[in-house]
Amino acid sequence: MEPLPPAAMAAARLTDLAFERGLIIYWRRTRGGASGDHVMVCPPLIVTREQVDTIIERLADALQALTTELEMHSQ
Amino acid sequence: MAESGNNAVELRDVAKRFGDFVALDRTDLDVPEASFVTFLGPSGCGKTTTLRMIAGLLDPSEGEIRVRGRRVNDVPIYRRNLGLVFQNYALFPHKTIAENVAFGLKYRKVPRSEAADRVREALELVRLPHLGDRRPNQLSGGQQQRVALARAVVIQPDVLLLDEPLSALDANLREEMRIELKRIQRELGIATIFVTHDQSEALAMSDRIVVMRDGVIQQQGTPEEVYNNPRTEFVACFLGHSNVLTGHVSGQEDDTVRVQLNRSGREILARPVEPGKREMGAPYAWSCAPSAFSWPNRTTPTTATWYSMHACAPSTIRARWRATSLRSAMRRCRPSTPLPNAPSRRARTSACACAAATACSSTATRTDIVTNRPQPAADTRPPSHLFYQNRQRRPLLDRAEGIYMHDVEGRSYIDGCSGAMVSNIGHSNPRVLAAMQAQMERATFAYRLQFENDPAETLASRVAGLMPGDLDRVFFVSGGSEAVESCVKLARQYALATGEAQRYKVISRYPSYHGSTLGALALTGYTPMTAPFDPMMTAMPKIPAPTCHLDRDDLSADERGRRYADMLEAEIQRQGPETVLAFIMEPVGGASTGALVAPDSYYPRIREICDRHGILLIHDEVMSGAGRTGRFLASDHWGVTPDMAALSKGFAAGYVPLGAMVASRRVVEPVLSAGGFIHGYTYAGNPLACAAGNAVLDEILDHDLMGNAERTGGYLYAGCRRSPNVSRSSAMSAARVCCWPSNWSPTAPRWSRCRRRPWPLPA
Repeated sequence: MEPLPPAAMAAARLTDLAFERGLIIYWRRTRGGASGDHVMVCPPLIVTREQVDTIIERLADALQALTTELEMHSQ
Repeated sequence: MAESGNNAVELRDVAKRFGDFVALDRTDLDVPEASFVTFLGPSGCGKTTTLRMIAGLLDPSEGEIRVRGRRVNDVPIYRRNLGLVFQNYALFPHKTIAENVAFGLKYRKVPRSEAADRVREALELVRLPHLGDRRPNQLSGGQQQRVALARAVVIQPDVLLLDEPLSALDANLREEMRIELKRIQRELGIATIFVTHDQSEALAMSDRIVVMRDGVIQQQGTPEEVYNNPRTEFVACFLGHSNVLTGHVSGQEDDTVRVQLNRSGREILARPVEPGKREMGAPYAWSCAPSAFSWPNRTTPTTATWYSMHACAPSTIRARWRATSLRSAMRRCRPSTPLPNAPSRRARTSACACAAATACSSTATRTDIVTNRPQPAADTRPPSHLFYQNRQRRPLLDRAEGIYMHDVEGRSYIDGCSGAMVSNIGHSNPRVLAAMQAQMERATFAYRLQFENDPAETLASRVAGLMPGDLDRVFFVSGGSEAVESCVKLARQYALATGEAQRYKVISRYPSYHGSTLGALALTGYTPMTAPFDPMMTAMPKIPAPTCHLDRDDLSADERGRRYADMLEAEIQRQGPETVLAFIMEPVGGASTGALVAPDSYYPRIREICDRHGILLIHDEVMSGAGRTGRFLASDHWGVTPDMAALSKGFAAGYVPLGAMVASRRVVEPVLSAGGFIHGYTYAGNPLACAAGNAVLDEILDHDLMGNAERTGGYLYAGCRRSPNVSRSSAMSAARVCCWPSNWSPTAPRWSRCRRRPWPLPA
């Protein structure tokens, strides 16, 4: 799997999409994005399993939205 | 390439290698006099490396660089007579604009009267003649960039080198400066090399574009040539906004090929650049020239011109077409009109997004992913006097409790990253608030040189009890940067106190993040944050961070871990072991590496190397400490004890600014005996902050939050790992999954561009 091109700023976009869905995550770029960017998901340590499920759900939704966007832009 | 006396810059067989890594493969290149040549390519393509070699900031590994026919390989940067402009204006804040511009002239000993004339001319050239007396901080970003340009041209350089000079500016200014730059270059007739990753910048400004990738020039030519006749698929995709259509050959008439698109079934006509017979359904890749593209109906032939690129995967023919014409790409940086068939799926995406997203729903090129950050729709708030990284407004916070944050508009958010890995025990914890309230009623501040206070004494003694080995001396500070700098200063004073004054170098890793104050920044390996300040600080030696997951070799994880640790040994030898004071590392990486975890073999090997050379080991546990990884210190997972550790963030969990340096008494005692630790911050160890710190620690220990971190973290990790959209989340270290609990990081959300499967939810 190839990393997305740095110019796509995919991790930043994912963070925005997640924010719109009520989930705050943290993205940063390493080495100019040459080997991909990362996001960190690290809620407070008091988080429960049910809350983790919601986090995963919102993250999944944001990822799906991003995938759709990226597909559209390469279609 | 022909030798020519008419070139400002010539590269002959120039290559640059960093170890095994080839940053620039053997390259020949000519930059004609008075021309504007752009090096264009994605990050890591070698464009900046090439520019820096021409500038004299880097030595080429081989080959010859000539400026105006003269070999300059061995000529130092200040004798090359080049004008340099960087993304960071690097103006002297304490000098006026005129003094800034005059700096190069002063250095060249130009007589004062002549210098004044030339400064005036240069400022007129950049249209800032009236601002000579101001200081940089009184100027806008665009004006500062013009000053930087004036400073570069005032010395009448042979060549002007521009390294992404526009990328720090906002979109409007960028466009304006683009025109200005080109005008100035034309007026002066200076050969100019411009480095950018922005295609529209390159198209708008250049006489020639050199498209680079992975250290190799892919193609060079006029903007029209590279845009209309891309020689490789990379060039075609990289220039302009490409979209991919799939279809198959359905017919051919003379030099025109009929292509039926898979999705819509519509037919379009294409003219291959390489003439010849195309077989029905034959596998070719196609690229559409941008000019005058239109959707044909079945009776009207298209005006589009299509170019055959090269054979591609047998299953489909891929046709690339450009959303914008060359002219419009040159004219503007963002297309503002919808594409011919602006996809309807887009509407669905924006419909389910909140108002914040509507700004990006109208256009459908890749550009809007890059530039359209969500803006609150119709923000009616008055302008803010606050400023941080940029002008972007954020929702106004109303309140926060537990893992939730609520804005004044009534929207709720899950704090999925604890702010910046800070709010470890959640927001508005009643026990912490009560403890703070109780302390506030007694005393909020007591200066540490006048009074001891209970909360500070208690917290120090509890922290000492949680630390491994002999780490039992605590020094409070107000944040992570302060904690890191305290470690460095204590290490240095320890060297002085023990008769090793020659030790002063602190080796760190790249990438890494150790703080943003100038002292901590000298240790930070994160170029976007450090570059502007390079001239102002003594950057410390760096070794590569153990990003083993990116390595492609046959070594086992442990072998890789040892290999990375041995890079420290090599660096110590290079620096001279007697000059190295300390080594600082994040046991589990933070923002710069995305929770990087090294193989198990790395940690004890590092400890052993430090011990062998009498070098102090500093663990930056600002992000990873205070229970975040399921143990109080991340390094507890490996049973390695540093000589000092820096704590903050989760230590007071966002209730107050608080951090700590915890050091071995072996290090502290000699310093105190030799006259004391010359260091301190006003708010250090104040009773209110320490009372909050105690209550946070109570919560962590009484509710076994470290255990919960381990359990729910594993669950979160497992859920995230199931995503086919996310690559290699396990490779950060499958062995240590649960040591970064609640703190899962997939290292990279790298979605394959062709992936189509939905993202499954956890069962």
